[in-house]
Amino acid sequence: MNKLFRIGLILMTICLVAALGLAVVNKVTSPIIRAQEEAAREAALSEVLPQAEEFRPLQKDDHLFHMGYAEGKLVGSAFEVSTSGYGGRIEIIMGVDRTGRVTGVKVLSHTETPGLGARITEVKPGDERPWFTQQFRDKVLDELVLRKDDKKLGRIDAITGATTSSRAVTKGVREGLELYLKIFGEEMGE
Amino acid sequence: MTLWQDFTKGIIKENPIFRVMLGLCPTLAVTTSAINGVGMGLATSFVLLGSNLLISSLRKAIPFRIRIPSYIIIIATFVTITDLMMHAYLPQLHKALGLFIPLIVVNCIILGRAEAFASRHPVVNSTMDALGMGVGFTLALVILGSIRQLIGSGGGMIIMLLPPGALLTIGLLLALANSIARRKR
Repeated sequence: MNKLFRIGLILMTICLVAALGLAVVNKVTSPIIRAQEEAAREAALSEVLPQAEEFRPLQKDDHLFHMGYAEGKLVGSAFEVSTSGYGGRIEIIMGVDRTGRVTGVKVLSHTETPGLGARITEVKPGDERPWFTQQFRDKVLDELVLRKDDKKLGRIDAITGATTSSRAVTKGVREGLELYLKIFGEEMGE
Repeated sequence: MTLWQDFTKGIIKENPIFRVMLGLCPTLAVTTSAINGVGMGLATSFVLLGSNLLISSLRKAIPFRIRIPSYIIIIATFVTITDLMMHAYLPQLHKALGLFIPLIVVNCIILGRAEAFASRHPVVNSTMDALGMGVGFTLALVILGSIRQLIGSGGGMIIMLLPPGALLTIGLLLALANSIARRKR
């Protein structure tokens, strides 16, 4: 009985030390990590809606929209979309201008397969932005389909061998734009 | 075994992938390009070094009967701490290696070396063992990743980037490794 007790005690000690170590590291790093994610979000907003100089948050129908303004005038909106990819959820941020055109798409996080689906964030040497998401710029709603899914209207090229991931991102952007048009449709002019 | 041999054995003679055949699952999953191989190799080597060091220094304190759960706790904790620290202090590197770090916990090389070596040898030897295994592992990954990328990427034979291609490639490489080893005998 004594031996078993001693073994249990040692295992408990190891667990306690491990838990303590994790708690400490987590406490120290989590504010830093959160600040990084904040900064990344800020940068992402400007990246998907470059025409905007400042952003003001607007909560509508359970969705958070970052309304973009330049020289005091509304130029569009940036907002996050979540879609189901091949390996899990893909978090996207996208920008739309006042004519209902996509101004930019950025993948914030994903767990797609390295070498295949993960190529949604692949940047070709010499480029600045991922070629796959750059395709979405200047597209209108009907064009937000893979070419292989809609030969007439589709304007998005899928990634070879990663159709599911490509389709997922495209669907996410399309549904995001649909949502935007549904909520802000009447307020848009031009 | 000399200290130097403790290091070099992990590179060729006891290469973790081609001879000891540990950690094949994350290996096959990750080697879709050479750079992925490098990234995974480096991250795993770092964890292997830390875990071997920790477990070797604690080897007299951990009772034999609970060594496996103890090692697992130590390794998983170390990987998580590494992940958090990298996320906070080396964000660029973390972004590049992000997907691989959680995968390291399931890599049998870590537990394998802990059980087979670090738990029975002094800290210095265990460190050399970890370094050698790390180098050998990274080398194997780069070879595997390069082959699969060269043949499979950019419009080539896609199958090389998928599981069948991975298994085919490693099968052929293992056959090669075996024939070389046999000839040496």
